[in-house]
Amino acid sequence: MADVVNMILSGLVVGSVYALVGLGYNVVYGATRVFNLAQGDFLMLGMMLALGLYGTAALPFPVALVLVLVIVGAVGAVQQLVAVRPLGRAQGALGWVLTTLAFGIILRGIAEIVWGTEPLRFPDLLPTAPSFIAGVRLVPQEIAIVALTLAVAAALDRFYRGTMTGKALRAMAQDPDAAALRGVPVARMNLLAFGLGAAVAALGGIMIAPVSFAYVYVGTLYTFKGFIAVAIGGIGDNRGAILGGLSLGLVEVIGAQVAGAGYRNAIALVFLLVVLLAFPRGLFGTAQVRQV
Amino acid sequence: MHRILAHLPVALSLLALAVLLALPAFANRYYLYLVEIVLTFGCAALGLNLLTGHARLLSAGQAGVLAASAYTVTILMTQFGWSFWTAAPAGIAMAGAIGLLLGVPSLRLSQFYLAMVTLGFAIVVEDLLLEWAGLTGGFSGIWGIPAPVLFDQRLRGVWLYYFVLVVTLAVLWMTWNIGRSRWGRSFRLIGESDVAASSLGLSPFRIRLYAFLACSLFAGAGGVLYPFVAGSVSPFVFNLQVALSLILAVVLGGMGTVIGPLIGAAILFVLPELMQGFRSVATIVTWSVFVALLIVAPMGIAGAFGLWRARRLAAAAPVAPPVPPPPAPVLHTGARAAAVAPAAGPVLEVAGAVKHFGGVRAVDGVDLSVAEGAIHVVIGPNGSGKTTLLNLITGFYPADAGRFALVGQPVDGLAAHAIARAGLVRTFQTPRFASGLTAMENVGLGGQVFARSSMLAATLSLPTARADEARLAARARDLIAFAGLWDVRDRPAGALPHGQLRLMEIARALMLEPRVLLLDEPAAGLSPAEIDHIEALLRAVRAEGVTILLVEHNMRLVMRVAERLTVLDRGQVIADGLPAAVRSDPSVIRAYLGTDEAAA
Repeated sequence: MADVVNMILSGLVVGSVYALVGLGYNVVYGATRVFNLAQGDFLMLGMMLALGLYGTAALPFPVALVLVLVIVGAVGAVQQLVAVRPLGRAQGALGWVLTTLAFGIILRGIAEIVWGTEPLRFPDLLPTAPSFIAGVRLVPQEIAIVALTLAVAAALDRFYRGTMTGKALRAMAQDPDAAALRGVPVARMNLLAFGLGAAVAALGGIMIAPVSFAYVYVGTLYTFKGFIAVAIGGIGDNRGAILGGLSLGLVEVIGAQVAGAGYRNAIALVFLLVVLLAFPRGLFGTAQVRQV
Repeated sequence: MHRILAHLPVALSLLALAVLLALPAFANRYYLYLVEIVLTFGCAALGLNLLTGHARLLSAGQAGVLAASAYTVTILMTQFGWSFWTAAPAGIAMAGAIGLLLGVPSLRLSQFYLAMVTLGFAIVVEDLLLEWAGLTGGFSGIWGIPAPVLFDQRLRGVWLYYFVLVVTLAVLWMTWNIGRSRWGRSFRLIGESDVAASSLGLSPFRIRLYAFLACSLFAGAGGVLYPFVAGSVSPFVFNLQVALSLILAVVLGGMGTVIGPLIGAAILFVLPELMQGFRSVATIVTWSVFVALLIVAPMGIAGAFGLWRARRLAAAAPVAPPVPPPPAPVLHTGARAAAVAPAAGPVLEVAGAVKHFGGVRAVDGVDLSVAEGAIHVVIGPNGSGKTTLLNLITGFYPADAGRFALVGQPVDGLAAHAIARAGLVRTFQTPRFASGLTAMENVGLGGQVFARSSMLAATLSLPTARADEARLAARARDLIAFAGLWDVRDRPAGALPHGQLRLMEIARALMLEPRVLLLDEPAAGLSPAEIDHIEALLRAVRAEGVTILLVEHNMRLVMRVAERLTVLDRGQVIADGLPAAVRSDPSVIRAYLGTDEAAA
């Protein structure tokens, strides 16, 4: 029994990180209709910068945290400026698919030079040693990951519903031209969306690093898994991203238990393909009407 | 200068071919190996070009597909004792199966789904090659693969080089054939507007699937060559980095060009050999250049060369005598209408159509009955639901309620492309087309529903495919003359002014031999002269027996062509009848001009 609970718990922990990456996708996509393929590498960048500032430079954690989020957010905004904004409209979706993918690879290349190509040990934030209650394995750091993911989702919800900036971001997605006419500073809002999306992903990186390793090659995997979270949940739907991330985490952990750890990514891919076949709009999402 | 330019591409190609053929005479084994690697991955790049360059979709799994084919061939030959000539088709079939497996679930959705699914596949291939070590040899891969035997000659050394060259040339020829066939043109259309494809009776999903299938099969061809070129297969030569290099090769070489992907592959698979030791820096520089390239010069090397040549040719060209248009083309525009018995009742009937967007009742219980052979006009103030109604009839929006019938046959619930095939063909307020194709090629897109030859026939340029092409071209020629676009027929559609694009869309819609032609505000934004042109065209179409349903704002045009008038306001029909009667209807005047009570 405890084994089953432990399995579910570890699925939820992994799934929370996928959900955070998914939330990052939604922040960008919800405002700009761009699906940022560098999202996993922002997670990686957050991880590595936290290692540098908190681990190597030994700054107090809150200071390091704020610095990392600001830096990664700024890099996200830079991405919008140099790799998305200058694209001609004629390029269509292929343009940003290619340039955001390329931007992630460039980040990885820079990270390789700075941090090398080996997985690095990350210092503990909260205790990472498990304590057992009736056989159930509890790790404070892991519990914090789940709690933080839910907190970020709640905060985003308040931001989108409760603030003018949040509403402006949503309005922009509907029709950028109309939003601009209503006085929404579309250019600045684009930067904000990319920055915020990158920062959300970075947060995931900081949280997961103590229970895994800080490694410059984790980005692609999270880019893919975060996508599965939102594709299952319905793209643009934050509640869906959480549910999608958690269910992916569960499927992966249970599947790996049954088939073997080496099949983990294969199981995730099959899960995605099956869901797309049966529910093209996601399990929890709402259908969108196409514009003609 | 002009003469030289005109023959430059052929001359350069022949020169390159001569160098490649002569290479074994002066290059050592290492250089031959480099060229073989370039050609092997070049096959995959040529395939990827169909997907990325033409259909503007992205696959990050092209190297993974190549790996699947390479491993299939290797395993069948080394562990099951198959000969090369039976293992090779199996490898290519494996590539095709993967194409279907990844394509079917993802290609109904937005473009980036395929990019993400293939990215996942690239990750999973590496995992599985390690996991299935019993079959794949795990980390160390498989060595000692027997060389293929052709006519008692073992294909190794120079013989292997020529074999790889021949296969690559065949792939080049086949991708070129696809690119210039109706398949290639439909790839280009969905690359810019899958909505336009639907309106022409073409299923965007099917076209995308064909593009991805072709892309995967050519990667399979590269995979068949790889084990013999490299002498082994191992999991790490097919990683994501290689897939990304293939994308780079296509973009750098020139998306949508014939030879560009090979040029790109030559650069990208030779450069790293020279830059080993600077891997990270090389990555950063390469991909920064890539982003810059996409922004500044998305046409790539071969594309830039083509543009430069076209510009110089145009400047240097002696003025050619204009070719007269075909004499009074026989259109048979309404051939299908004539072939079936004239409708006893209305040709198009809408009953109780409803469409709500959130709280907005865009169309709120509309009945409409269109008589055969008439020009039926729907007017109404802005936001009255005209365009939404048209979108409901043609299946671009699913209706919340209502019945739609073409000559008594229900068409509601059908996909947009199926409705177009049934004979309800529309145009768009903002023209949607393939900007890189000429006006005539765009018009020809409308006739693809009648083409029967397969993509395989087009790939091999078989007589059936060529006959289809000739038929399409002949009919497009007639219709482009009919629409008055003869003089601009060979111009890229992207360079045409708005008014001519409208005419082009009408001609394109007529290619489908519609029962009813539905036009969405064809006069919007046009000059009076252009509107006169549209009016003449509508009358000519009507004379051919095609029924016209016209949604229009321009009252001058409406009153001149309308034989029957329906007025919408706030999603409901407020008047319906002969134009003269409707015009004096008080409720219509109220809707357009407003009254005191409306103002209050």
